[in-house]
Amino acid sequence: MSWLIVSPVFDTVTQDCYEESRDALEYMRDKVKIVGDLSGRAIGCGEVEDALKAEPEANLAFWNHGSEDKLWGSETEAIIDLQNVGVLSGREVYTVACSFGKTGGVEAYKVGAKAVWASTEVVTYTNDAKEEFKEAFTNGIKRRVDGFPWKECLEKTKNRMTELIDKLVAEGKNLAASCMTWDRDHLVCYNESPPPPEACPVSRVMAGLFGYRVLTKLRKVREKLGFRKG
Amino acid sequence: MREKDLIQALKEKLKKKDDDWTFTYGREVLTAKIEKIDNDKKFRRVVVEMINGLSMDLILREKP
Repeated sequence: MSWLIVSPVFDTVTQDCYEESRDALEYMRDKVKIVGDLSGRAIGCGEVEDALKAEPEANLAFWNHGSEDKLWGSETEAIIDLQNVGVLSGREVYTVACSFGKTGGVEAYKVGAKAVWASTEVVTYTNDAKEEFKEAFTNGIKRRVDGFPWKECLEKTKNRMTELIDKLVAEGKNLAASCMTWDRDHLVCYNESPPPPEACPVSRVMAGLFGYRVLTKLRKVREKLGFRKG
Repeated sequence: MREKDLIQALKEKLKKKDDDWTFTYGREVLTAKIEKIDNDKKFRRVVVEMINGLSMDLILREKP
């Protein structure tokens, strides 16, 4: 098993992500092959695509900003979007990023990614519990390189996050515990079981007929027109 | 508790937080003032969901 690490840095939040990626990388080095580490600065889409194409067997571990259909390498450039999501085919993909599980992760799974670890919502944390969040955000990949199947990695991570919630509550850090609960409840791993279908029947039909690129564009138009999300 | 009352109680609580306390919400790093809570309906809904989420989690895991 080999991994490409991507953890760009270009603002305060990405600096936190970077620290989490260093913690995970330290753990992973002895157990798996690290084929590249594109981290610590803004990263371009081409760099990631080239690195992945050069290593067809490599998996991708990513810490940084995400959105429903993108993983970001800088303020303005996505390293993965619905146009190049095909580069994830045949790979395991671990993301600690907002919302990618909603659309981008689903599409990655559909084009053949072996597993996609992602959040379906905005990721939240407080700075009075940074160590606990670091542990939560790195636990999944650590269990994976320990050799557990993804389903177990997800179970173990959610269980650990529940323990961390109890610890934070016991310490009186209830807002941190709320964030941890939110993050745990929106964590998904598309692996043996496929992503659930779109809840909205119209979205389901649009995604089925035209794919997520069209659906995402229509959602953006709807937002611009000021209609509330369904 | 109504959403309005919950938000008001939260704002009172946040007033007591240290100046260096931050809450990261995606790309945004918010201080305890969290003015966003008054101006952003979606954010307010998320905050309420987060608080209710923890409450329900603790209740559902309560020992019999």
